[in-house]
Amino acid sequence: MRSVTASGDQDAQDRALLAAHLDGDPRAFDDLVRRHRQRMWALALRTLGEPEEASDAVQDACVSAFRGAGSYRGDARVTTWLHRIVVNACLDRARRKAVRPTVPLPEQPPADPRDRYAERETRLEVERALAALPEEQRLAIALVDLQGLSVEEAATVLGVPGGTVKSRCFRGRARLAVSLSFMREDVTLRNPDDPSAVPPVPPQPQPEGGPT
Amino acid sequence: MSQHLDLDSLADVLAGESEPPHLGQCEACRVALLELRAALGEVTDVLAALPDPELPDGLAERLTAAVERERRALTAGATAATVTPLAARREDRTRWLPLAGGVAAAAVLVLGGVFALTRGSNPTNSTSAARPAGTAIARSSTGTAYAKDGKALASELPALLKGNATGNDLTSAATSQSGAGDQAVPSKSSRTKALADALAPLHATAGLASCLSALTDPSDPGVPLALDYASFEGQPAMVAVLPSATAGKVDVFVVGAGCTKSDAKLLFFTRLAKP
Repeated sequence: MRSVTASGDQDAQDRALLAAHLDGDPRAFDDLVRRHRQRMWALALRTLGEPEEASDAVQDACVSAFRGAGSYRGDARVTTWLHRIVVNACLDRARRKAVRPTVPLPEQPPADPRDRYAERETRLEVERALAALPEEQRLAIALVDLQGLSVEEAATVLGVPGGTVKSRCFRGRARLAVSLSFMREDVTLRNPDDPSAVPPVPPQPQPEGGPT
Repeated sequence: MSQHLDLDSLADVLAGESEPPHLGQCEACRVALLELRAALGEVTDVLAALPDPELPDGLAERLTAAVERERRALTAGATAATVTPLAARREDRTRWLPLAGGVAAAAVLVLGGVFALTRGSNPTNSTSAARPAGTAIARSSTGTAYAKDGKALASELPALLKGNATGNDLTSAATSQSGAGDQAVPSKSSRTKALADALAPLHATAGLASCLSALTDPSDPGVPLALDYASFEGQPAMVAVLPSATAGKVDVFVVGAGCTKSDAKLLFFTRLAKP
């Protein structure tokens, strides 16, 4: 998990930068982008899976945030607001260009000299498994497990109830457990994506705002 | 006994989102649930250890450039709104055309009449970099092969601003500019000639004015400090050095040969210390 979400101090600084930008400070928005671009990039890459598309989405998000800074109401952290803009930019790109968000990551990504072989293999395996998740589960895991947002914040970003985010996270993690071979084979057979799986019990009535 | 719980159902139980009655009757599903609980702990550990992906080369510069373009567009819009009479704003949109035309005409006048034209190896202007903005632009045609690492841009910047950069004279190599045939430029390599031809539209006053209006405030077209006709990562490109919003810096835009008012064809952007 990423280092825990930005502290209150960091959010106060973000808010001050946004206010300075709206007051006409020409450097404030650049500073805001500099503080968040790494997280915006990580979220976009894990949402879209394809570096070029992710780069374009981050650029779209920066422009949208610049233009829409006046619409920030202050009821969520600035980082939450930016996450929502990045997610929207990613989904717009995925839909507009008919690029499936589950595009597999490159087979031979550039070697990172800091990676040891085993670590790199593990990382690639996890990233491939993440890329293979259904979009809604991958987004929930990216926001909560990788970006460090709370379930409530992720719910704000995605515009769904907190219970839905929680369910998507658990279902996504369960699929990862299967694809990363952390589960026994006979349980694996119950993977709902597996046509040979044991038929599930009929769906339980879900409470309002429950899992989708 | 009802059917076994599938993976999603087991996950929902662990999320606290459901309590299916089947679980109380099925030892196998209770075992599976415990195994999944343990496996989810491993998944959480693996996710926690996943490093942040490195920001790709050039993305930071792209973002700065995109924001800068938005800022300039916003400034231009604000300026236009300020100078447009209220009555005109109440009229049909076509009333804006004379104003837009006037701005474009002013840009052409500045580009055609005021630029201090400097040609690569044969500089005719070596005024200081401190020349007032809007009075002269050092225009060079060095043909330099600039790259994403920005080193050549940084090293050439002082000479570009002073107007004494040296290199291939692309302007005279361009058949479309010189009006001469291929035989007129036998000393130029085919690559230099190809660069010059590709960039010919940006040598022309109207083409240059159109391109610069994508990068600058069109109400103040005399802003650029220096231009260089060159290449970037193997593509024909023009370097435009503009004043920066950051004190002590200049904004360096590298645009492709197809740069126009509607699309700058931005290839690279960097903000460098003003020499």
